[in-house]
Amino acid sequence: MKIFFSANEAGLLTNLTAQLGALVSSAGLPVDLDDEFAMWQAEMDHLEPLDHSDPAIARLFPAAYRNDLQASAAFASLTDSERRLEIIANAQRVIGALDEAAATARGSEYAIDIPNEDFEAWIKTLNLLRVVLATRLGIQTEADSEAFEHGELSPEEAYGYAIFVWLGEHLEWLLQ
Amino acid sequence: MTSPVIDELEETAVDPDTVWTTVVWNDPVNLMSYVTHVFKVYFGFSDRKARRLMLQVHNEGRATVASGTLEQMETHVAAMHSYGLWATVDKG
Repeated sequence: MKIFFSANEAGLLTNLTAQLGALVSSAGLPVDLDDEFAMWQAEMDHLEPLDHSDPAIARLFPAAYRNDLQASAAFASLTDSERRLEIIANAQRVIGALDEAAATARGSEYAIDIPNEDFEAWIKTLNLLRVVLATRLGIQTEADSEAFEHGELSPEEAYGYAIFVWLGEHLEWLLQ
Repeated sequence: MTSPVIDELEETAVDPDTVWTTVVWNDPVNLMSYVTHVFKVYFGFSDRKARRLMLQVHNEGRATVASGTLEQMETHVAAMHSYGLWATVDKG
Protein backbone atom coordinates (compact mmCIF):
# COMPACT_ATOMS: atom_id res chain seq x y z
CA MET A 1 0.00 0.00 0.00
CA LYS A 2 1.34 3.41 -1.00
CA ILE A 3 0.57 6.77 0.56
CA PHE A 4 1.51 10.11 -0.94
CA PHE A 5 2.55 13.38 0.67
CA SER A 6 4.13 16.63 -0.34
CA ALA A 7 7.27 17.51 1.62
CA ASN A 8 5.26 20.08 3.61
CA GLU A 9 2.55 17.56 4.43
CA ALA A 10 5.14 15.01 5.52
CA GLY A 11 6.70 17.62 7.79
CA LEU A 12 3.30 18.43 9.30
CA LEU A 13 2.49 14.75 9.87
CA THR A 14 5.89 14.17 11.48
CA ASN A 15 5.28 17.08 13.83
CA LEU A 16 1.74 15.97 14.77
CA THR A 17 2.82 12.37 15.30
CA ALA A 18 5.70 13.48 17.53
CA GLN A 19 3.20 15.49 19.58
CA LEU A 20 0.98 12.42 19.94
CA GLY A 21 3.96 10.41 21.19
CA ALA A 22 4.89 13.16 23.62
CA LEU A 23 1.29 13.48 24.84
CA VAL A 24 1.15 9.86 26.01
CA SER A 25 4.77 9.52 27.08
CA SER A 26 4.62 12.41 29.51
CA ALA A 27 1.80 14.90 29.19
CA GLY A 28 2.85 18.50 29.36
CA LEU A 29 6.60 18.12 28.73
CA PRO A 30 7.96 20.41 26.01
CA VAL A 31 8.87 18.43 22.90
CA ASP A 32 12.41 18.62 21.60
CA LEU A 33 11.75 17.43 18.08
CA ASP A 34 15.43 16.81 17.39
CA ASP A 35 15.71 14.37 20.24
CA GLU A 36 12.27 12.76 20.42
CA PHE A 37 13.43 9.16 20.18
CA ALA A 38 15.90 9.57 23.00
CA MET A 39 13.23 11.28 25.08
CA TRP A 40 10.63 8.59 24.51
CA GLN A 41 13.13 5.81 25.07
CA ALA A 42 14.15 7.28 28.40
CA GLU A 43 10.56 7.64 29.49
CA MET A 44 9.38 4.21 28.45
CA ASP A 45 10.85 2.77 31.64
CA HIS A 46 9.42 5.51 33.82
CA LEU A 47 6.04 6.54 32.51
CA GLU A 48 4.52 9.25 34.63
CA PRO A 49 0.80 8.92 35.43
CA LEU A 50 -1.51 10.21 32.71
CA ASP A 51 -3.29 13.50 33.30
CA HIS A 52 -6.91 12.44 32.82
CA SER A 53 -8.09 16.04 33.30
CA ASP A 54 -6.70 16.67 29.80
CA PRO A 55 -9.72 16.00 27.51
CA ALA A 56 -7.49 14.41 24.86
CA ILE A 57 -6.08 11.94 27.41
CA ALA A 58 -9.59 11.26 28.72
CA ARG A 59 -10.74 10.48 25.16
CA LEU A 60 -7.70 8.33 24.28
CA PHE A 61 -8.03 6.40 27.55
CA PRO A 62 -11.77 6.35 28.27
CA ALA A 63 -13.46 4.64 31.21
CA ALA A 64 -14.06 0.95 30.47
CA TYR A 65 -17.16 0.84 32.73
CA ARG A 66 -19.90 3.40 32.43
CA ASN A 67 -21.01 3.51 36.05
CA ASP A 68 -18.13 1.97 37.96
CA LEU A 69 -15.22 4.27 38.74
CA GLN A 70 -13.40 1.62 40.75
CA ALA A 71 -13.54 -1.02 38.02
CA SER A 72 -12.56 1.59 35.43
CA ALA A 73 -9.54 2.62 37.51
CA ALA A 74 -8.49 -1.03 37.92
CA PHE A 75 -8.85 -1.55 34.16
CA ALA A 76 -6.76 1.58 33.47
CA SER A 77 -4.00 0.46 35.83
CA LEU A 78 -3.80 -2.86 33.97
CA THR A 79 -3.96 -1.54 30.41
CA ASP A 80 -2.70 2.08 30.24
CA SER A 81 1.04 1.38 30.16
CA GLU A 82 0.81 -1.18 27.39
CA ARG A 83 -1.47 1.09 25.36
CA ARG A 84 0.85 4.08 25.82
CA LEU A 85 3.84 2.06 24.65
CA GLU A 86 1.87 0.85 21.64
CA ILE A 87 0.95 4.42 20.66
CA ILE A 88 4.61 5.45 20.99
CA ALA A 89 5.86 2.44 19.00
CA ASN A 90 3.32 3.10 16.23
CA ALA A 91 4.27 6.79 16.16
CA GLN A 92 7.93 5.82 15.82
CA ARG A 93 7.15 3.58 12.82
CA VAL A 94 5.25 6.39 11.09
CA ILE A 95 7.93 9.00 11.82
CA GLY A 96 10.64 6.55 10.73
CA ALA A 97 8.94 6.03 7.36
CA LEU A 98 8.44 9.79 6.90
CA ASP A 99 12.09 10.47 7.78
CA GLU A 100 13.25 7.82 5.35
CA ALA A 101 11.06 9.28 2.61
CA ALA A 102 12.50 12.73 3.26
CA ALA A 103 16.04 11.35 3.04
CA THR A 104 15.52 9.40 -0.18
CA ALA A 105 12.89 11.41 -2.10
CA ARG A 106 13.74 12.98 -5.42
CA GLY A 107 11.76 16.19 -5.53
CA SER A 108 9.10 17.41 -3.14
CA GLU A 109 6.57 14.57 -3.57
CA TYR A 110 6.92 11.55 -1.31
CA ALA A 111 5.48 8.11 -2.12
CA ILE A 112 5.74 5.95 0.99
CA ASP A 113 5.40 2.19 0.70
CA ILE A 114 3.65 0.88 3.80
CA PRO A 115 4.50 -2.78 4.42
CA ASN A 116 1.60 -4.97 5.55
CA GLU A 117 3.03 -5.33 9.05
CA ASP A 118 2.99 -1.54 9.50
CA PHE A 119 -0.52 -0.98 8.12
CA GLU A 120 -2.34 -1.06 11.47
CA ALA A 121 0.31 1.23 13.00
CA TRP A 122 -0.38 3.79 10.28
CA ILE A 123 -4.16 3.74 10.43
CA LYS A 124 -4.22 3.74 14.24
CA THR A 125 -1.85 6.70 14.34
CA LEU A 126 -3.80 8.69 11.73
CA ASN A 127 -7.05 7.98 13.56
CA LEU A 128 -5.70 8.83 17.03
CA LEU A 129 -4.42 12.12 15.61
CA ARG A 130 -8.00 12.81 14.46
CA VAL A 131 -9.31 11.88 17.91
CA VAL A 132 -6.89 14.28 19.64
CA LEU A 133 -7.53 17.09 17.14
CA ALA A 134 -11.30 16.66 17.59
CA THR A 135 -11.01 17.07 21.36
CA ARG A 136 -8.76 20.11 20.94
CA LEU A 137 -11.29 21.66 18.51
CA GLY A 138 -14.26 20.73 20.72
CA ILE A 139 -15.86 18.25 18.29
CA GLN A 140 -17.68 15.96 20.72
CA THR A 141 -21.07 15.39 19.12
CA GLU A 142 -22.55 14.98 15.66
CA ALA A 143 -23.93 18.54 16.03
CA ASP A 144 -20.39 19.86 16.66
CA SER A 145 -19.23 17.99 13.59
CA GLU A 146 -22.01 19.61 11.49
CA ALA A 147 -21.12 23.04 12.85
CA PHE A 148 -17.49 22.62 11.83
CA GLU A 149 -18.44 21.35 8.40
CA HIS A 150 -20.91 24.11 7.58
CA GLY A 151 -20.51 26.91 10.13
CA GLU A 152 -18.35 30.00 10.47
CA LEU A 153 -14.94 29.19 11.93
CA SER A 154 -12.14 31.30 13.34
CA PRO A 155 -8.85 31.08 11.38
CA GLU A 156 -7.41 28.75 14.06
CA GLU A 157 -10.48 26.51 13.97
CA ALA A 158 -10.47 26.45 10.17
CA TYR A 159 -6.79 25.45 10.15
CA GLY A 160 -7.29 22.69 12.74
CA TYR A 161 -10.40 21.40 11.00
CA ALA A 162 -8.62 21.37 7.62
CA ILE A 163 -5.94 19.12 9.16
CA PHE A 164 -8.66 16.92 10.70
CA VAL A 165 -10.30 16.48 7.27
CA TRP A 166 -6.93 15.97 5.56
CA LEU A 167 -6.04 13.16 8.00
CA GLY A 168 -9.44 11.59 7.30
CA GLU A 169 -8.84 11.67 3.55
CA HIS A 170 -5.53 9.84 3.95
CA LEU A 171 -7.15 7.33 6.27
CA GLU A 172 -9.91 6.69 3.70
CA TRP A 173 -7.25 6.28 1.03
CA LEU A 174 -5.48 3.58 3.03
CA LEU A 175 -8.76 1.78 3.80
CA GLN A 176 -9.93 1.68 0.16
CA MET B 1 -40.40 -14.25 52.08
CA THR B 2 -36.89 -13.22 51.16
CA SER B 3 -34.77 -10.85 53.13
CA PRO B 4 -33.77 -7.66 51.32
CA VAL B 5 -30.23 -8.11 52.67
CA ILE B 6 -29.91 -11.50 51.03
CA ASP B 7 -31.32 -10.11 47.80
CA GLU B 8 -28.65 -7.45 47.79
CA LEU B 9 -25.90 -9.97 48.50
CA GLU B 10 -27.07 -12.17 45.65
CA GLU B 11 -27.08 -9.25 43.30
CA THR B 12 -23.52 -8.18 44.02
CA ALA B 13 -21.95 -11.64 44.30
CA VAL B 14 -19.80 -12.69 41.35
CA ASP B 15 -21.81 -15.08 39.26
CA PRO B 16 -19.61 -17.29 37.10
CA ASP B 17 -22.48 -17.59 34.63
CA THR B 18 -22.81 -13.83 34.13
CA VAL B 19 -22.46 -12.94 30.47
CA TRP B 20 -20.49 -9.79 29.83
CA THR B 21 -20.57 -7.77 26.64
CA THR B 22 -18.44 -5.31 24.70
CA VAL B 23 -20.42 -2.24 23.64
CA VAL B 24 -19.11 0.21 21.03
CA TRP B 25 -20.54 3.75 21.15
CA ASN B 26 -21.07 6.29 18.41
CA ASP B 27 -18.80 9.31 18.17
CA PRO B 28 -18.37 12.04 15.56
CA VAL B 29 -14.72 11.24 14.80
CA ASN B 30 -14.37 7.66 13.65
CA LEU B 31 -15.04 7.18 9.93
CA MET B 32 -17.55 4.52 8.90
CA SER B 33 -14.91 2.78 6.77
CA TYR B 34 -12.53 2.77 9.73
CA VAL B 35 -15.02 1.27 12.20
CA THR B 36 -15.93 -1.42 9.65
CA HIS B 37 -12.24 -2.19 9.14
CA VAL B 38 -11.63 -2.51 12.90
CA PHE B 39 -14.57 -4.91 13.30
CA LYS B 40 -13.31 -7.05 10.41
CA VAL B 41 -9.63 -7.10 11.37
CA TYR B 42 -9.94 -7.42 15.13
CA PHE B 43 -13.03 -9.62 15.50
CA GLY B 44 -12.70 -11.40 12.16
CA PHE B 45 -16.27 -10.47 11.18
CA SER B 46 -17.42 -10.78 7.57
CA ASP B 47 -17.72 -7.55 5.62
CA ARG B 48 -21.51 -7.81 5.87
CA LYS B 49 -21.57 -8.31 9.66
CA ALA B 50 -18.95 -5.60 10.25
CA ARG B 51 -21.00 -3.11 8.18
CA ARG B 52 -24.24 -4.04 9.93
CA LEU B 53 -22.70 -3.46 13.37
CA MET B 54 -21.02 -0.24 12.22
CA LEU B 55 -24.38 1.07 10.95
CA GLN B 56 -26.01 0.04 14.23
CA VAL B 57 -23.41 2.10 16.12
CA HIS B 58 -23.97 5.03 13.76
CA ASN B 59 -27.79 4.93 13.70
CA GLU B 60 -28.67 3.70 17.19
CA GLY B 61 -25.72 5.16 19.09
CA ARG B 62 -24.34 1.84 20.26
CA ALA B 63 -23.91 -1.81 19.32
CA THR B 64 -23.00 -4.93 21.25
CA VAL B 65 -20.13 -6.45 19.30
CA ALA B 66 -19.04 -9.35 21.54
CA SER B 67 -20.07 -11.35 24.59
CA GLY B 68 -18.24 -13.72 26.92
CA THR B 69 -16.22 -13.67 30.11
CA LEU B 70 -15.25 -10.47 31.88
CA GLU B 71 -11.58 -11.02 31.05
CA GLN B 72 -12.34 -11.49 27.34
CA MET B 73 -14.47 -8.33 27.26
CA GLU B 74 -11.77 -6.26 28.99
CA THR B 75 -9.29 -7.44 26.34
CA HIS B 76 -11.73 -6.44 23.58
CA VAL B 77 -12.44 -3.04 25.15
CA ALA B 78 -8.71 -2.28 25.50
CA ALA B 79 -8.26 -3.24 21.84
CA MET B 80 -11.15 -0.99 20.75
CA HIS B 81 -9.61 1.89 22.75
CA SER B 82 -6.27 1.26 21.05
CA TYR B 83 -8.02 1.94 17.72
CA GLY B 84 -9.56 5.12 19.11
CA LEU B 85 -13.06 3.64 19.33
CA TRP B 86 -15.18 4.40 22.38
CA ALA B 87 -16.12 1.06 24.00
CA THR B 88 -17.26 -0.19 27.40
CA VAL B 89 -17.69 -3.47 29.25
CA ASP B 90 -21.34 -4.11 30.02
CA LYS B 91 -23.49 -6.87 31.48
CA GLY B 92 -25.34 -8.91 28.88
